[in-house]
Amino acid sequence: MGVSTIAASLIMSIPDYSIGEVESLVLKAYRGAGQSWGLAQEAANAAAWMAMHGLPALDEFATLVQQIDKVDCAHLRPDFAEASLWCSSSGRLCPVVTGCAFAESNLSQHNLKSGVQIKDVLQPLIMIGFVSRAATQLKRNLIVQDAAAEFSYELSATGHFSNALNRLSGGPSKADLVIRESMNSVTETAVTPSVYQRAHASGNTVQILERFAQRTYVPATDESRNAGAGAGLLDND
Amino acid sequence: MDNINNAPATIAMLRPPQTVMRLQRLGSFHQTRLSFMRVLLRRLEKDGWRFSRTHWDIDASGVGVGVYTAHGPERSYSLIAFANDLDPAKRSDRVIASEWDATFTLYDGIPTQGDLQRLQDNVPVQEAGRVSGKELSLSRANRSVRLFDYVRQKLSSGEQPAMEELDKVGYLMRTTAVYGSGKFGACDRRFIADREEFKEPFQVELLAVYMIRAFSVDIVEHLAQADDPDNYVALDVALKRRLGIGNSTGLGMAPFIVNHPTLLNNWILARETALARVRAIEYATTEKNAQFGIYLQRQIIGVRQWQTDHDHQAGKIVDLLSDLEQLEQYLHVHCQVQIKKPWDEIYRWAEQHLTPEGQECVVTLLLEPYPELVDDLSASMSIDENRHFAINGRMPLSVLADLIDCNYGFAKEFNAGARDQNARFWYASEEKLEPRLGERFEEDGAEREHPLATARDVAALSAQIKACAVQKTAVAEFLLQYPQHRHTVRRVQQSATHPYSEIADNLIASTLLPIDLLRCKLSFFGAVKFDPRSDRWLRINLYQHAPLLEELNSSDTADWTDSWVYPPLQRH
Repeated sequence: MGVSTIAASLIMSIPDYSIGEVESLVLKAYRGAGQSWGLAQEAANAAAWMAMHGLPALDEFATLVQQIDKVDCAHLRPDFAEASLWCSSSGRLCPVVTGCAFAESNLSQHNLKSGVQIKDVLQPLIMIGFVSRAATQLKRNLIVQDAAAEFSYELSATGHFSNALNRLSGGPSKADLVIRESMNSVTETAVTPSVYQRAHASGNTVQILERFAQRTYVPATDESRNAGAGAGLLDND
Repeated sequence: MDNINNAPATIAMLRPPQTVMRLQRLGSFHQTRLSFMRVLLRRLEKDGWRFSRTHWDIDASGVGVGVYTAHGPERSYSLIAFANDLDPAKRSDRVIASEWDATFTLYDGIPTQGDLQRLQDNVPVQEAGRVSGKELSLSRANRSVRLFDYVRQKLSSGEQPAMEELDKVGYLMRTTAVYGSGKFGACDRRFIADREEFKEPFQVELLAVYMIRAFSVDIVEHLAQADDPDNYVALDVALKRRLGIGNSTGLGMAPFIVNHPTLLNNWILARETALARVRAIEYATTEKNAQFGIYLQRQIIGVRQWQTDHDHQAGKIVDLLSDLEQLEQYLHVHCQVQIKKPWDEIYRWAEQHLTPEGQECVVTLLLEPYPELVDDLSASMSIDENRHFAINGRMPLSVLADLIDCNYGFAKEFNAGARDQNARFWYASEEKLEPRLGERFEEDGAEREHPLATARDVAALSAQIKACAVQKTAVAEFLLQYPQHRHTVRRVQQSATHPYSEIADNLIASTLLPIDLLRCKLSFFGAVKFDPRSDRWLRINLYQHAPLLEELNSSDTADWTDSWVYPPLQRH
């Protein structure tokens, strides 16, 4: 077996996933963690955005669902002590709940210029898609950074995305974030949106998500097997 | 409605959503000029697509691989068919089937030997395998026990099968699943949606099914010839055209039109706009009148061939035939040329005198003579759902309440305390990962319910809004407090710009007929001969009477027109 053949077989053996599979799996897993269907839709949408921008959507969500499993959403949402400082009394913010709040809130120009601080965000990479949504809606370029300056992403008003520190794999499991308007022209250096058509997962990520997704299924009984689908066993024609 | 330009006279003619979106009406829809199968064949014809069978390595027992390639102006697609010699005992069990007579994938381009080998390992096992971003669909089909062996035996003994026998079934093989976008690793629709040939919905799946139809004829001929090479005759071309491809569809498809409200809106809006345009016509020419009359005759022939054992549908077919005969008489009495807005007149008459099944059949017939007013609307039937996904958090609750008031009249009728209105729940089965319908008060699992109970959920949202003291509160703030209403808020906001996005009925009522949901969707595919096997699954026929692969764009089918879906007036 030549080197190129070995390389080819290695590539073949690494499973990749369609964006639809990422969406479907994250939808069910997030719901399976005890959260609402509407937030699960947001999680799925954010996961698709991440995967299409080369971010490790499946890995990030596999970690997140374990952290928020069966936690009441009231303990995962920002309390809005003040407009420029978001935090939660529980010391952890879900990036999906917080991301929705950020994209949907009435942010003033003043807040954006000086920066909104968001404390204790779990899996903060997940926030990036929501910040991108806000940038598009507000028609402003936004930059999101963590306090430790481990990552920094710029999201343009036109939907472009740039990873200033060029770290595409893995983010911190929890971080304090600052989101503010960027004075840079993001589009000059930015990645074209949606260049990635396949998603990858590491380790047992998919198994974890499937375990959570499993909780949304109803086990079959003989009665439901026949009645629920409505088909009899015989389907010859 | 930002993607369709209409004259005010047309807009005034649009039927209101509260009329159109009732399940009884949606469950009476028939195919139209805008159905996706007809859109596909029009494009294949217009753009000069050609088909060839490029590979056929199938043995005398019917096991092997066949490849068909569709060559378009810019790209080619190949249907790869894996033929199987299935033990008849395995064909009889639908619910736990793991093996089929044939399995298929639509490949993006022309496959290499390596691709065929990779797919051989995965496609025949369907859900248990994986396909790649080079594959666009995954499907399987079984032979019709009623027809396949009969045709095989006739051809091998040198005879043509009887047309009456063919018409009783209408197909040699029946697909039991056609998976598309992103399923089991296949390419996502979003990455090919800008290709000209796939702009309209479900063109990938329907292209695959059109080619599967050709395979179903080729394989019966192949086996008949292997049975007796000396006496074998090929199937008569006119008989081939009478054969479509069957499909059986269960609940798996039902939630789709509830889960894709903005897409559903675009389908219905296109159809309603087409109807409104035709109704707004001031005078009809003699030629258009004559065409309408011919389509009516051909439709009557088709309805007479429509067979089902399902009592509910059988009753509807009897009514439909009576409706169409009444329409014939009405046309005899009224000379349409002299009447102003003649088509509007016919529609209004139908609304007063015919059943919903008949009324919707009239809608189909009214569109038929007017390709110049109807066909361009197919371009508006897709949607980038992502554009409408984000919730407007700045909307005040009072505006959300107004939207509910205007667009969700059906939710006001929902009574949470009435068992019959709360009787069902939609769920995904652990065994098949497919949508199912359960009985809330008799079965376990209602806590795992899927969010398809629009009427109930909107009623609950409405009550929660009323309980909020400050109506100026923004939606974002409300949803932080009440995340359980988020999926409903999204729908309500989408309804502001998508008037036909919601089915105006209670989808968990004891009286729900899930086949109404299936029929609505399948009519947009272009299916005919709806044959319910229970209240929740049915058989249909696709591409019956359609031109054969080799007939598209060939000079000897100059008389082929887009009206293939109607049976010919004279049997030949």
